[in-house]
Amino acid sequence: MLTTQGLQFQYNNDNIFHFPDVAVNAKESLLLLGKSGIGKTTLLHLLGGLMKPLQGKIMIANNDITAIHGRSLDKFRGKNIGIVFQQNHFVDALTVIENILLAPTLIGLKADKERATNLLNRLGLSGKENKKINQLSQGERQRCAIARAIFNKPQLILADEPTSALDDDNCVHVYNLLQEQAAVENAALVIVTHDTRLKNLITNQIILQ
Amino acid sequence: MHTITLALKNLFNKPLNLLLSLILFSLGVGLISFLLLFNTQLNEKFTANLAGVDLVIGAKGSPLQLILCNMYHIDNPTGNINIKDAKPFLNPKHPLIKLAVPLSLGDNYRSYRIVGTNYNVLKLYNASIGTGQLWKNDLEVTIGHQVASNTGLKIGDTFTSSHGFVDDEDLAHDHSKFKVVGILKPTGAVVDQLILTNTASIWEMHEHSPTTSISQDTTHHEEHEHAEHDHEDHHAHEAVDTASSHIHDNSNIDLLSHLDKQITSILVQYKSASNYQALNMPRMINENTAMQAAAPAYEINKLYSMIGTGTETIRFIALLIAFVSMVSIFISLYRSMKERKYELALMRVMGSSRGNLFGLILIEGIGIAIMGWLVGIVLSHLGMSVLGQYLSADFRYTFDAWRMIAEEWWLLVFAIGLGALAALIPAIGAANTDINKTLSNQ
Repeated sequence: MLTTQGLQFQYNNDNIFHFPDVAVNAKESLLLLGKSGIGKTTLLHLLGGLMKPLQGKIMIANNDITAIHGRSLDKFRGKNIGIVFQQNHFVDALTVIENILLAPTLIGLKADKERATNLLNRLGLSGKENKKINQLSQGERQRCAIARAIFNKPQLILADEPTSALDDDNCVHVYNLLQEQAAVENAALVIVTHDTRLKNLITNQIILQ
Repeated sequence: MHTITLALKNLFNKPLNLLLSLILFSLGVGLISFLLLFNTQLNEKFTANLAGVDLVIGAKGSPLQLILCNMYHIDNPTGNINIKDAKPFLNPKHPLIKLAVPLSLGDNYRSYRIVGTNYNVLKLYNASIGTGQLWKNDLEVTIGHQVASNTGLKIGDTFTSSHGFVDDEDLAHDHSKFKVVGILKPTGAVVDQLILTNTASIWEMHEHSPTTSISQDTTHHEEHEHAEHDHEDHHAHEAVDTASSHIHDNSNIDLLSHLDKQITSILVQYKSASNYQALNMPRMINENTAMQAAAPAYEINKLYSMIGTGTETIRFIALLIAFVSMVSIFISLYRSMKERKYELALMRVMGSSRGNLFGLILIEGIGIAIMGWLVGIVLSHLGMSVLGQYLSADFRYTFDAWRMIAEEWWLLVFAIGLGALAALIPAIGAANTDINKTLSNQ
């Protein structure tokens, strides 16, 4: 589902990142571990099509996203890549369900309310549809962000430090949730983190150095 | 979700910001719209009441007062003129004059002026009888549409007039009563607010009461009238009696048989306004007679240019408010764009293009402008309807407070332009949101 070849990225002249090649299939998980400043977020942004690499290829479902530009890339990202951030942001003016439904409508797809309600139920957020985002707890916000990320049935789910701020129990719980949802939606899951607790949970792992 | 819905939800999510922008913007729009409405309607009414009158001949005094009194029925008369002096202008064979309408003022009924005149006045205002008939005998009146609807007078009703131009029971002429014989169709001109009768009726009213004279005029004139009354009182009765028996045919010829009497003014229409002799007529009258002549169009233009300075100032202030409100919209949108940078970056991640974000903020700016325009227009029309109630008494006009004018739609275009301009820089900022920086620095 996701493969990369010879990815390099350059912020300025004296600092070039060389990233190892990665590969992950649908329903599988990949752990990208590394210390702070090693380029984890950079790699996540490259994989998410939020930045262009200096060199290399990123294949998602047989499309090289380094060759897609502008509006097409925006649409491709909206449709095929779901991203869950460490701090999850929402449109404050909208309710929970309206935020979820931004996922299809921002790329011109139909706002399927039934699917949104089903996803919220699946993630334990039933009854919260019409709440404002700031009425949710941190945990609820993260689950809401997961629902939003998987709404469009993406090929790839990227999670940036999803467990760093959580205690051990919740760390396992959130990983299981992500892994389950990725499997249900037939997506590949890539977790980028420095949280070494996940080492024991995900066998497929690459350590960034 | 449609971009417009999202933009509106964003606006209403910060109600106080929205309120501040709306108050300022609607104030600017409202003021401008109010000025446009007021000017347009005043202009229309003044023009409608010019009624093709080229010249007003009356007693010496302020020419503007003469016009305002006899054309618009706002001001008091400058005095009276003797029929003896006005004789040439009442002559139907005058080579330059197409129409000469004599007016005699002096009485009112519940603030509506009673005007002694003849049927020619109807030609001036294109007025025609609605119900009943035109006045024929002394003390018969035909009333304007507005008078009928506001006083409730009906055909067959009688009323006593009071002296002067304000409603005052102490000044009522109790001895004889006017009788309503007809009601005119609405014309939109000042005649809607007048009570029309023949000239002799006005004379009769005033010759009966020794303390009053026709029209509120100079002290000198009143004394003169009193002297006349003393020795003429008996004679006047006779004159009126014989007058009614020989039936006034309401023509100027009829007036010419009463050379000892007075009227307030004559409204004159030339046969040809560009005639050289006609152009000289006002000067001739002003220099060679005890009367004055004034051209309505000229005096009204002078009045406009005086009012114009005032409206220009208010217009400038209104534009200033509009500009300040634009700055306020700019600041409000710019701040909200900065506050929402995570939201905007997130929308990019979820598939929004730069153009989408630019459009979103632009629509927010235009949204404030359209709402502000709407509130402003409602405010200005409300103001117009409140002010109109005061003005209809003072100016003898009814203002059509809820009619939209074309300029207000142009004002909408102007408002949308201002809103878009205010939103331009914040919208560019939103389009250029740096996803990577915003999302890495969390």
